[in-house]
Amino acid sequence: MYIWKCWRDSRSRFTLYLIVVPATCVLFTIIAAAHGPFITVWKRGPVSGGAQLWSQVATAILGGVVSLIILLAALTLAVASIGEEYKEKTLDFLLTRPRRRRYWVWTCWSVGAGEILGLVVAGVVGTFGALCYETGYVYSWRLLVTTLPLFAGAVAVYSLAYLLTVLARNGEQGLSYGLGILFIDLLLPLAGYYWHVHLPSVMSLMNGGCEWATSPTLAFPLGELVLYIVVALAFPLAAQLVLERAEV
Amino acid sequence: MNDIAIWTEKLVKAYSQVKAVDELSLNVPRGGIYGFLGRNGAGKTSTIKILLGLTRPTAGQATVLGFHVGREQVAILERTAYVSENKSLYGNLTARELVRFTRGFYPNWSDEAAAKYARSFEIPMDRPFGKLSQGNRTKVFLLLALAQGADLLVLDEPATGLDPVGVDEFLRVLAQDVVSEGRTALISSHQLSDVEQVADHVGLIDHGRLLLEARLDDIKSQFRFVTAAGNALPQTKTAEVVSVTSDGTFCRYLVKQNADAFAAELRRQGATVTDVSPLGLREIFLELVRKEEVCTSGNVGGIAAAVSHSI
Amino acid sequence: MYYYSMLLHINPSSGVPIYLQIENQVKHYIASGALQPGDALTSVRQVAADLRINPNTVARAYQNLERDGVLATVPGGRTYVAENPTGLLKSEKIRRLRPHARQIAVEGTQLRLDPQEIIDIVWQELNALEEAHERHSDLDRKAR
Repeated sequence: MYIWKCWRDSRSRFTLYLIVVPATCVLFTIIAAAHGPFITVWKRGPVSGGAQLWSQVATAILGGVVSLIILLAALTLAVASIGEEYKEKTLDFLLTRPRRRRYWVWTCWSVGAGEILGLVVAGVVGTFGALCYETGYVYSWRLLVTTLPLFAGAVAVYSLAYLLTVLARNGEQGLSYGLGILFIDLLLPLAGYYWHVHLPSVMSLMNGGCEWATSPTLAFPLGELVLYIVVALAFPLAAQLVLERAEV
Repeated sequence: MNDIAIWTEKLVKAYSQVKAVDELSLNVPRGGIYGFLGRNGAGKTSTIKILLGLTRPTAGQATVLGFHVGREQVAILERTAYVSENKSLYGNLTARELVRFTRGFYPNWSDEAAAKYARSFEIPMDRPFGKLSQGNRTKVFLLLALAQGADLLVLDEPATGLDPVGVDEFLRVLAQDVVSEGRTALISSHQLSDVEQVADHVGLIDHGRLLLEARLDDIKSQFRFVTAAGNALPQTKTAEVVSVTSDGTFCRYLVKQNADAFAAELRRQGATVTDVSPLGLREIFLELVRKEEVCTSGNVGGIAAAVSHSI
Repeated sequence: MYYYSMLLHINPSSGVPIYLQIENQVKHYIASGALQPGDALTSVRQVAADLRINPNTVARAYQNLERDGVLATVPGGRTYVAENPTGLLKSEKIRRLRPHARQIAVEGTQLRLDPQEIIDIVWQELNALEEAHERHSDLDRKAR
């Protein structure tokens, strides 16, 4: 029943994003299709024509704009977490239901993670579906694999925000902290580029995953993927430990 | 342990220097109603939170329905229904949705009971909880607790915001459905008159310490105020004299048992015993708990403070 | 069959335990004829629910009255006003009454009433019970 309740609390936000994400994909794909030459300028690396070009376009859209939206979604979906129970003062009701405390943490987290998966799938399907439609090309299985790094990156951010809402005991405050951290994280690739150093950043994971789909020579960012999956699971685990020690 | 619903031994809950619960040893028998009484901040809610696993005790141990508090907390929660002092639920859910949310946790949940109480308490089931009055919120909590099919009900201020009709209905339900089915109820309340009506046992707590724990019938049939006048009246408490108040001329003893024998002894010592009277819960409560009260008539308060003792 | 819950008036705040109040009132109604031998009593649970008091308290009162021979319970579960007047020995009856008599004596003396006045008061109460008894028998006869 808690699943139902968590879903209810987040469904309006989720539905909104579920419309925005594919809509963005389709919109940008159409724009790209109309402004083909612009893309060749923007992508500084070697560009070939045909399917290759278009998959590069797709990965640019997906790894760029869409992942930003998904990251934003990840943050805002984390608001409906255990942290909110503190604010609503319903913890003494919830924690006196016959479940271990970790049940509440992970159940609520799973609902959000599932929603993010839904958004990622919608983004991938939206982008490549629109491309298929526009260009008539059919794309390879590698494109489906892009869901993994996108998902891992988004869930890691979600988990971070989730932990922050529990620590802050307030959904919205946790969200603001999360936004702050995400902002810093997004700047890291720029700093890395400036100092010629590769700093791990969630965008580099998501972008890297998308690029791999279209560049056979690139290595799959497996190491980063595993790291972010571990991180994505470590944060709710920390939230569990916090809740288990909490006094209401 | 089968006939004990709640048992604590030297339970302590300390917040830095202050002890909210101070070596509390409670004994709540099964199958009855236990009135858990005390002033604001006496430690009632702190004790209840420990029993329900919301906070951890600093020292001591406790069992609920035979299960160890802390180690076997989920087993306790499966069998215990709780109405907290803070009556907050999810503001956007209606009572009907809250029922739907809650029933999934309890195999013994009774839909008929839930429907029955929704009717008898006249709860607006389709209004969001956040828009309900305080009295209706309390009623929703009572519904959820009563329909749960629990062996033990722990009710912290269960009459908050209830009008007299609501209180009456609540007492009727307690009398008819709780005790008759062999369930136990611990009621923590300021409303002494309500508790007095339905309780089998009472436990009186002040500053985290248990002042008195006894069957209510015994309290009423054996506790007496003995008022006497005379010189050289004894001013100390004994095993039987729980409290002494003096205003210089008269001494009033709160005697736990054998009041007649005590009065006879006073007479033998030359005192004049003017009254041996029974007392209600309110008078016992006030006598035991009110220690620092400043009396309006000169010395009286001072002497009372110096001489008054509790158990 | 009487549903006499409405005849009982319980004062929870009084110094008298509730079970004792019930016992005294039941005895009073029997003595005044409002309850006749053979009348069925409301169940413990119903009395408790009607009066909003603890069923254990009602059960205790019933048990005490049964022990005193005032009530009787049938194996089926129903409780009745005992048919026969209590089958106690005279000496036992006197033993039970003595504490109450002592209390009247003490009270009367404290109030500085002389013995004859005290006895008169007791006589008046006995007469009142007698009259009440006759009234209830009349009502019963008319009802049948």
